[in-house]
Amino acid sequence: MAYREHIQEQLSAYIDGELSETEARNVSSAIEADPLLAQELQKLRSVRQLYRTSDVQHAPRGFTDRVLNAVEREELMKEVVTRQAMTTPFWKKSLAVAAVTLLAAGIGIILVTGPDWFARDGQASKDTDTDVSNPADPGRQDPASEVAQNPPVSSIDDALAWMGSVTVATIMADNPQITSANVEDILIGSGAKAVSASSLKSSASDAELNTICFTVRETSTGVVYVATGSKEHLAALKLSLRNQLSTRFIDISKAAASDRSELASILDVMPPDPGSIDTHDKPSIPYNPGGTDLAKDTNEKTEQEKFREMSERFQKYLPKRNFPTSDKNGATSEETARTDDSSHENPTNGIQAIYIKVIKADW
Amino acid sequence: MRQPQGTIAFDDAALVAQTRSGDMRAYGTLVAKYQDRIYNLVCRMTGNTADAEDLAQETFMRALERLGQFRGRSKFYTWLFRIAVNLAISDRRRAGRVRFHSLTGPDEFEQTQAEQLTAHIAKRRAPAPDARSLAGERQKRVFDALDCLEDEFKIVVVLRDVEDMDYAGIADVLGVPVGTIKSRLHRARCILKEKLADLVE
Repeated sequence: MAYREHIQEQLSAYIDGELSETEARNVSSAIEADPLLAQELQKLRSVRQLYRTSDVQHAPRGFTDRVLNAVEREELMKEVVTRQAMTTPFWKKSLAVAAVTLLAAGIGIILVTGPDWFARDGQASKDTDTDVSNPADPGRQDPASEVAQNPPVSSIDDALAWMGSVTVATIMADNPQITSANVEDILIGSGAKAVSASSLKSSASDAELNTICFTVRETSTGVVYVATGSKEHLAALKLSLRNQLSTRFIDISKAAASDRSELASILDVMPPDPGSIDTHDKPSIPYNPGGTDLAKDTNEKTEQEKFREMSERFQKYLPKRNFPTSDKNGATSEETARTDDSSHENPTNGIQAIYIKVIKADW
Repeated sequence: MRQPQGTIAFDDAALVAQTRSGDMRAYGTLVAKYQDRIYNLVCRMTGNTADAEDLAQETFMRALERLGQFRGRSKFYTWLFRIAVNLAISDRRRAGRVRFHSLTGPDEFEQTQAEQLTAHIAKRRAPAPDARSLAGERQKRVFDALDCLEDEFKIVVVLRDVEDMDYAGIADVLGVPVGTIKSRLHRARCILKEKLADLVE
């Protein structure tokens, strides 16, 4: 009995040709003498054959390029960070440009990924002709129909609550080695660029919109940035920020009220923080620039109204572009098509944003 | 020595050397050469194509990061497979931990519920039906049975019967003796034989 078990144990190796000559001879003899062993051998052969004849899964098209692009991005970031000490603070040069650029683009990109955000109250707004920043955009589609599909959010809390995909990155720049230039270098190294609101509306390509775009604002406590980009880009950016600048990250929903207010201010969904020092050109869609008490100024619109205006304004431009818009689960349309019902497992795909604060920087 | 500009070596050792000297085209060639095998491996290990692409990409990223540590004592693809296998097993264990901590309750009823829920999730995570349409229901059953095996048994089946590695190669990838591979593979095939009884009659 023990011998038979011993032979049984060797059947798989026998099939695979992994036995010595002597062992194989012993197994052959045992099989000839024992029909049950022969039957067992045949079944094991069948099992083996099931897997050996299975279809091979091929890597998706463009896989090699994606690997090399990812490698290139990481390498680029490393290079940029190693020369950080030599660099003149980029933000000083770029303030004038940046102030009028991604302020609008940032929210535009964020808004388009909002899951069911605009459809929350189901109420379509017909007051669509509020685009004072670009009234003659030739590529604009019928705004009424677009906005009708995307009614605005009902409150600023809704807006911030939605921003679950926004990460707050805090960099305590007490160390003189850490300056806003470090952040700029990392942003630029990761392919970040500023895109003006007008270029977003008329000529920005999908590729540009998928790279990191950022805006910058000086505050009383430091410098803040809002970077928007694809999940992949921002993941790489976060990695670099964490590794190089000991950055702490939290979800916007867990951020302090002051941070939420600051971000809202930057995105122009609320009046600017009275404590902030805004030396830039005003964004193209300004409101309440002096921090006027809204409750006392009947000419001023409420926060909700302003935010709705902003939402509507951007909604006019979004449908004509091939944005990698998210479905309600956050998966892009392309991914949805590819992965079918598994797309719900990737809630963080698509465009996201990081709100980066450099506090008490020694610049 | 670096290859003359415009030429690409095709044997692994030369490609590794070129990559180490900074030639990313050489690494691109290595990726292209092994992408299907690595992707297929992690696909079979994870049981779904969505995770497989991420894991395959991570495999090549890790390999590049650690290329300086590769001494050439084993073949490059063996070393690469080892990285992929470790990543795939870690990924499965991570999923297993989440399942255990978040869903498994102390009593049998909750345990059953947890199993049902995780089975449901696993089903949802499985490739879309069209992804396996060519292989058909039979092949789906074959790989569902494989998914039921413990990692240590599953990997030897994948490396032997899907990747066609010999026992010594599998032992090298997994870092265990050949005798262990032999017994694990036999045990795995016996389990599969029972699970797929109607297909192997």
